[in-house]
Amino acid sequence: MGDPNSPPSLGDFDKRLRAARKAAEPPEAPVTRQRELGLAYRVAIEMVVGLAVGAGIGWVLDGWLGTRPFLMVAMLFMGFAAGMMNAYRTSRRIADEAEARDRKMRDGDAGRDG
Amino acid sequence: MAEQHSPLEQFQIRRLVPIEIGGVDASFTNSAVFMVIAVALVTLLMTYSMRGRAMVPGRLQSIAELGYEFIANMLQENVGSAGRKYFPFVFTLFMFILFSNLLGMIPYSFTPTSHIVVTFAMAFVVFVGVTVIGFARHGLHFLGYFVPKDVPWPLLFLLVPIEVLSYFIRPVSLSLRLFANMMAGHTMLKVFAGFVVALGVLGGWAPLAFVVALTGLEIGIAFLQAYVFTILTCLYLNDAVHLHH
Amino acid sequence: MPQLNLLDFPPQLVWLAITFVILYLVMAKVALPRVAEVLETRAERIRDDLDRATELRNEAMAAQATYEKALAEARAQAQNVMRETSAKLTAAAAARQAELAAELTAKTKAAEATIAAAKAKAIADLQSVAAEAARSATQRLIGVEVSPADAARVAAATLKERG
Repeated sequence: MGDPNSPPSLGDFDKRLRAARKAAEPPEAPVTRQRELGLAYRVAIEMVVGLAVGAGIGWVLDGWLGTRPFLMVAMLFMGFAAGMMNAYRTSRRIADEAEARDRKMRDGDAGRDG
Repeated sequence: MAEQHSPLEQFQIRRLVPIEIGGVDASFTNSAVFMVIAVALVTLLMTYSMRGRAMVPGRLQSIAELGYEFIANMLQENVGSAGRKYFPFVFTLFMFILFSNLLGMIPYSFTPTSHIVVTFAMAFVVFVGVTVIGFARHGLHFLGYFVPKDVPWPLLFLLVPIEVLSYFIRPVSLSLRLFANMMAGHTMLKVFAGFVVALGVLGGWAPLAFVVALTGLEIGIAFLQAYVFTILTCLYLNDAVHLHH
Repeated sequence: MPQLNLLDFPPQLVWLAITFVILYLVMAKVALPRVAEVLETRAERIRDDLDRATELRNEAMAAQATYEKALAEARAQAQNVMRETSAKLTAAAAARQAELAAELTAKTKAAEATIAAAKAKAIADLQSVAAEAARSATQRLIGVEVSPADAARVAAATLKERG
């Protein structure tokens, strides 16, 4: 008892072994989270690109069909909508993924201790 | 001052070795120099550091392994095991962009990814590749990707064009994001570095501190943009492989 | 913006294609398989080591259990032996005591018998002495010869009367 030469108890060893096992699990990828700033930025870029691409396609179609400027205006709005949709989808999915990873990490911890 | 450079000067392409092949200008430019350096550095990192195949990795080997696992996990989580085939491509893409971005942090260097042609070419390859994979795996069913489910049919006249448009916007926004970030960041760095030089030893300290802080931020952005480009590639790949939003 | 100079596009695209393809080939054919191999080997090694550690721990636990069992057995056996010995000793002591008691009783009885015999003999002696004395006194006093039997009877009766 209290003898420094006595071998460590099995319980202690067990704890260390479990810790080593846990450390040997594949490490989780670092979570990159820049949610707010990233989202605002993404929406801005997608919006501009949507407007530009929509207007461009509309302009070309107008020239082709002789409907200037109606298709360009219509496509401008559609491009805007498409850009917003893209921004919404990608940011939601990246957030989903980050969340799923968080959950996995938590569950993993709880599961191993149980 | 004799040489008052414009902050945009750094983006100038210079032909170091003029080459022309079959009427195409294939000159070896300053941009090409840094692409070659980036490729050399990535190659060095991923092969030289792994030469020992050490059980307990050194610092470089750890970085190489970390990069490998980072991209492998990203692909696994976003595309699943069907994405494993595309791992070398995604990894190459990430490393190429990351090292190009980072090389631009060095003063007087050139950033290949600060040119819209370069970023657009990469985004376009991703776009075409993903589309080809989609059609190859699903045939004409891939077109169903553009038709939203659970929507009253009159709305489809509006939604399908929007979906198609959003699909074609992807390569543009993908390339524009990377290009704009790199260009804006490096321009800002140059502008403030210019202040440091202009104000000299007496007044240059404040902008110098700002440049240092900005450099830190830019390194973060270099990583983040490489990450965003890669993860969006993964998401697009997932759409093509699994055919759902 | 220098980025929009169309004349600069072809050389950039050409070299992007060249460098990217080279990097792709080097990664796909050389670098990534090597990293994968190293990671796989290490993961295997770690798994093996942990498995071995678990095994050793289980063995240690089994050894400990065996040791504890043996200890408990030995302790139980020792207790048994002790209980048996003590029972044996108690029994032996009881037997000795009983023997002693019996011996004592026998001795006491024998002593009592001896005493009773001595008393009876003394009484008888006293009787015969008294009878003899009474007979000779009678003869001397009144000259009457009393038969020894009568004298004895009278003496016995007298002795009886007086206690």
